[in-house]
Amino acid sequence: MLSALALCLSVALLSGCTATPTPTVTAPATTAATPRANTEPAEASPVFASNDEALAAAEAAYSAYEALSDTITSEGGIGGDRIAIAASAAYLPELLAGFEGFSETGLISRGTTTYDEASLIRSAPEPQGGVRIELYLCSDISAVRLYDASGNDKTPVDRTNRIPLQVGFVSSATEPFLLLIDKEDVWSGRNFCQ
Amino acid sequence: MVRQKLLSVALAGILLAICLPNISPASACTISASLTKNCPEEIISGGVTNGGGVDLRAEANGGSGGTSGTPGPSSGRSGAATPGTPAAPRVCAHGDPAKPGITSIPCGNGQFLPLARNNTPATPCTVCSPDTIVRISDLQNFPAYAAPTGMEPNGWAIVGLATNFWATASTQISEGLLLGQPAQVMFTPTGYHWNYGDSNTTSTATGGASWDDLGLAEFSTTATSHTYATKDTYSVVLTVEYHADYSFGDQGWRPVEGTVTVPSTPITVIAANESTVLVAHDCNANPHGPGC
Repeated sequence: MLSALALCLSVALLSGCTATPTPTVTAPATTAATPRANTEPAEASPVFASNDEALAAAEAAYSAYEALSDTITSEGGIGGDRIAIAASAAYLPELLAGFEGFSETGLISRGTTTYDEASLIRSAPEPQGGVRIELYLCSDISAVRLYDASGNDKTPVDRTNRIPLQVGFVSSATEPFLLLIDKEDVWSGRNFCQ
Repeated sequence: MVRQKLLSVALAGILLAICLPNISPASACTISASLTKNCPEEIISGGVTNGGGVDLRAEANGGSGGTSGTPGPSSGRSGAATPGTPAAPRVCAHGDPAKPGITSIPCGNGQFLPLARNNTPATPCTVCSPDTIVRISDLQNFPAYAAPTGMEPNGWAIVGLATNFWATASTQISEGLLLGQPAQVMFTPTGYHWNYGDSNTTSTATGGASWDDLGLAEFSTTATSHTYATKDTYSVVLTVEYHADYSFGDQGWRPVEGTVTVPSTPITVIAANESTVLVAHDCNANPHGPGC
């Protein structure tokens, strides 16, 4: 069921194909989990009412990030700072370095990055407010091809197209539902994407 | 039952330990970087995907409201929390106070609880569901392999003199699926139980070492040595007790409730009288003979 949900979210987000997608802000279905002013700081209220809700919000945020990244690489990696609206301050330098490295290749991308097998590792409110969510997922770049200025396909033949990742998101106390990507770590153990 | 399964996979565990590459720390991989290269190359293309038969699964012990996070979506567990109440914790566990470096245990939603003694759930973990505690039974298919052992004199004992035994157990890391998710399990030796085959047993906190490593003269008494009273052939069995910790993703190690015991391959010891062995062998002809 969650796979179907993830697929629906992906299709809904990616079919829009906007030039500058923005991070998705997903509010919970109920208002019960809304942070309350009288809640003691030591026991932060959950931002999302359920783990399913947290997973759906994180998947939506990741889809938006993927689309934004695809847009930037389709333009040769120029203007990488557009990713800032979807990334945490801590992770942004790494993303910018990635786009800079891509732009140095002189290539452009065509195609869409996707993911599957998303599952929740954890979702927990941060002590200072907001939430931290982590997922396992398989990033799939098999549909993304790289071309040089002459239109020649320069996609690396031996490129790994499915990557097992631990993806992390954070949000702030002021915008608890705005999930910003905070890490994309390759799972160092068994490749669960093969 | 756990012991039986561990016995059956002991050999596989040894082979697995040889075949598995070192566990690498997590490495970042942005989409843009992955387009032009394998990232990180050593992990994706380094053969870590060779699971060596550890495609393992353990079942969560039933549903518990809002305590998901470890099982994947396919588990069908509901994560719905009661409106107005804090979300229940993702994982609760109780651990071993003797475990170095662990002073508290995550108990969901940022709460950290002090350790319970002797792995008992005495510490209040009021917001934890007992169903989500990771127990040894959940790890029954993770291999913890038998510890290599040694003795001196090699294969021989002299009645009335100390025979030294030791084990070189060390921390082991296995990987597989735990509660349906990729996970790593680390086994740390915590106790050594020796059965010397003559109705004498002892338990030690360390695995011992050779006389040379201990800086002792031959036939000295050590913490793990034993003195046989009569000549005979004995079978010595060492059972190593391991404490287990598990890790999902990069969340750090968390203790598992319970311990794992793994018996070693029995050591055959021929105990003889001193007068017999000293005149029966020539150290030049048989350098492994007793006393040589």
